Amino acid sequence: MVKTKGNAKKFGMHPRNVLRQPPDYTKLAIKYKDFRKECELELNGKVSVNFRNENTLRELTKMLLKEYFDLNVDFAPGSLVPTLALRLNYILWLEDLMEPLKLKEIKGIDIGCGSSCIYSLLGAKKNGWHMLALESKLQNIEYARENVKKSQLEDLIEVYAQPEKTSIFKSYFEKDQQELQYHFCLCNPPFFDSNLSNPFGGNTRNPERRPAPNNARTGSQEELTCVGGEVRFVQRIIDESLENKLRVRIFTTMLGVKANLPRILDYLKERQVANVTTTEFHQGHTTRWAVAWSFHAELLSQERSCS
Amino acid sequence: MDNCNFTMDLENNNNTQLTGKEPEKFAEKRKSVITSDDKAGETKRLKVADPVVKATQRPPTQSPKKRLQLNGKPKHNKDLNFTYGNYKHYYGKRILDKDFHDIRLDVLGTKPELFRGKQLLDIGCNSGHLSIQIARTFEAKSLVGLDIDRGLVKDAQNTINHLKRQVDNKQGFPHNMKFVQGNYVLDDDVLLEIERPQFDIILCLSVTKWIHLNFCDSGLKQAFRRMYLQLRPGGKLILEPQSFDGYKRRKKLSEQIRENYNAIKFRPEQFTEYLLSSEVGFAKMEPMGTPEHCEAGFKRPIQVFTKT
Repeated sequence: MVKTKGNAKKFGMHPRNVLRQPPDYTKLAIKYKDFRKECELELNGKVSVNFRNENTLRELTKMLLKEYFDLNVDFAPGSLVPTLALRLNYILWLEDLMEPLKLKEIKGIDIGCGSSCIYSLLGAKKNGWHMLALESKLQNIEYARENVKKSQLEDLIEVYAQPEKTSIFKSYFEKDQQELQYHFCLCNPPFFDSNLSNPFGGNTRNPERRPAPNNARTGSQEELTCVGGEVRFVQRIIDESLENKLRVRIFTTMLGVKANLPRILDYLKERQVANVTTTEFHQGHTTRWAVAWSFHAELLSQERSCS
Repeated sequence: MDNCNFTMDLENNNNTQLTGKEPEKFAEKRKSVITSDDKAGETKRLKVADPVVKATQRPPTQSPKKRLQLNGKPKHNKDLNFTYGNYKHYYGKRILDKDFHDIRLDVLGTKPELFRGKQLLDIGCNSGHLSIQIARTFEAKSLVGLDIDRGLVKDAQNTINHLKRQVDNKQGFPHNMKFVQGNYVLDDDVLLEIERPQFDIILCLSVTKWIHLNFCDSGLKQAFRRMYLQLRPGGKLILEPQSFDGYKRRKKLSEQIRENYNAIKFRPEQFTEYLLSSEVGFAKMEPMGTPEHCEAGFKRPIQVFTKT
C-alpha cells in the first residue's frame, strides 16, 4: 500500500522512534568529520546522503549511534551494516511487550548479535537491560566484544561465542548451571536460503508498488544466508523454545519476507503454541515482520495483525 | 463735440508696447534633470530599525515608465527591505535602451570563448535576466543560476519555462538552464571540505557587497574559497565587485546590517590579493573591462581570476 500522510500512523515508524523525524544531515555533517566525508554538498548548501553506498551507510549508522545514543561502534569490514531505524523499531516493540510485566530488572538474549552487537548495545544503553549476545562468527565476536568495551557496557552485556551454528540456546543453557530466567529473546535471522540457485532473488509480484530499498545491501554470505533461509532458522528457534519453555518469557524473531510469516504461524499452530502475536516494522520503503510467542500464562497483546 | 485726452495707437493696434524693462512676472520653466546617482540606492531614513527580514516584501507594481526611470527619481522608495539586494525590478534599473541589453554583455562579449560550450554558475542571478542572455548569446553548455530569494528564482524559472514552450528543440538552450534557491554562503566553513569542482566559469556580478553586508568578512571570504573549490582546473571566476563607498548607504537596511557594516575590515581593495593568496589559490587576475555607457554607479570593473 502506498504510504501517504494519512497512513503514517499505520505505516510509519514506531511512535517513539527518534528517527521518525528525518535527521538534519547538514547539521550532523558539520558536527561529525567522518560522516561529513561521505556526504555530498548541494549548491544550496544542504548536505545529501547517498544511501546506496556501503561506506556511507557504515559512517551514517556509526554517526547516528553516537549522536542519539552516545554509543561508539565499529563494524567489521564486509559485515552487515545495520540500519538504525529498523533496529530501533524492534527494540521499541520489545519495550512495549515488557511494559505490562512491570519488571525491575530485564534480561534478554540477542541471537546472532553480529559485529556491531547493536541490539544488545541499544537495549543496555537505552533501557539498562542485561543482555546475553550469542554469536558464532569469530570476527564478529571480536568486534562485538570491542564495541561493548568501547561503550563501557561490559557489566550489562555478555558476548558468548557459540561453538556451532546448528543450535541456538542449547550450548549456553547447558553450560549455565544457575538456570537463569530470561524475559525475552530477539533475532534477526539470515533472511535468504543458501540452498537456492538465486538466494537474493526477490519474488515481488508488483515491482512498481514495491520499489527497491533505498540502501545498499551489506553483509557476508554467512550473515545473510543459511540452509533453508529464515524459515528453517526460525523453526529451529521454535523447536528449542519448546524444550526450554519457561527459560525465556517471550520468544521473538524478525522475518524479512512477508510470505514466510504465515508459514511460521502455521508451524507454531501445529505445535499447539497458542499465545502468539505479530507486528510490522516500517522504515522507508522497507517493511519487516516479527513474531512473538510465549508459554507463560499472560496473554500477549494482539496489537495489530498483518494485512 | 467732446474733447478726449487719449490718442489711439492704431498702428500697433492699441497694444501696450513693452519696453523690455518690465519686471519678470513668470518663473523660468524648470528643466528636468536626470542625475547620475545610482538610483538603485536612495534609502529613506528609517525611524524604526527594520527587523531582519528573510523574505522580500513585495513593493506595489509600477508602470513601465517608472520602472525604467525615464521620469527621474522614483516617488516612493521601494528598496527598504531588499536586504540581500534582491530587488524585484532590478533589471529595469539596469536597462538602458529599448533592446533590454545589459551593458555588461559588451564587456563579457570581448571574450566569448570563455563561455562557449562551458558549464556556468551565476551567483546572485536575481530574476535570471542576465543569466539567460549570457547563456543564449555565448552558447554556454549549461548554466545554473543561484539566488537567495525564492520569489526571484521562481520568476527566473517561469521565464525559462515560458521560453521552453516557445522553442521546438528539446535540447540545448533553454533546456540547459536551471535556477536554484539558496544561500551561497554555507552554514559552516567545514563544509568546504566536501565541496567539489563542477563548473568551468563562475559569475559573481555585483553580489559581493550583499554577501559582505549580510554575512560579514568571514562569509565573503568563505564564498571566495567556495568559488575556487567549485571550479575545475583551468576554470575562471568572473568577478564584478562593488566598491566600498556604495556600502554606506545600505547600512540602514537593518540593525544587523549596520552592525555588520561597522565590523568590516576586509575591504574591496584587498579582494584581489586575497583571491590570489594561498587561502584561496587563484593563479592570476586579468582585468576584462569596465562598462562604458551607463550610469556612473554601475561603472564597475569586471575581473577574471584563473585557477590552474
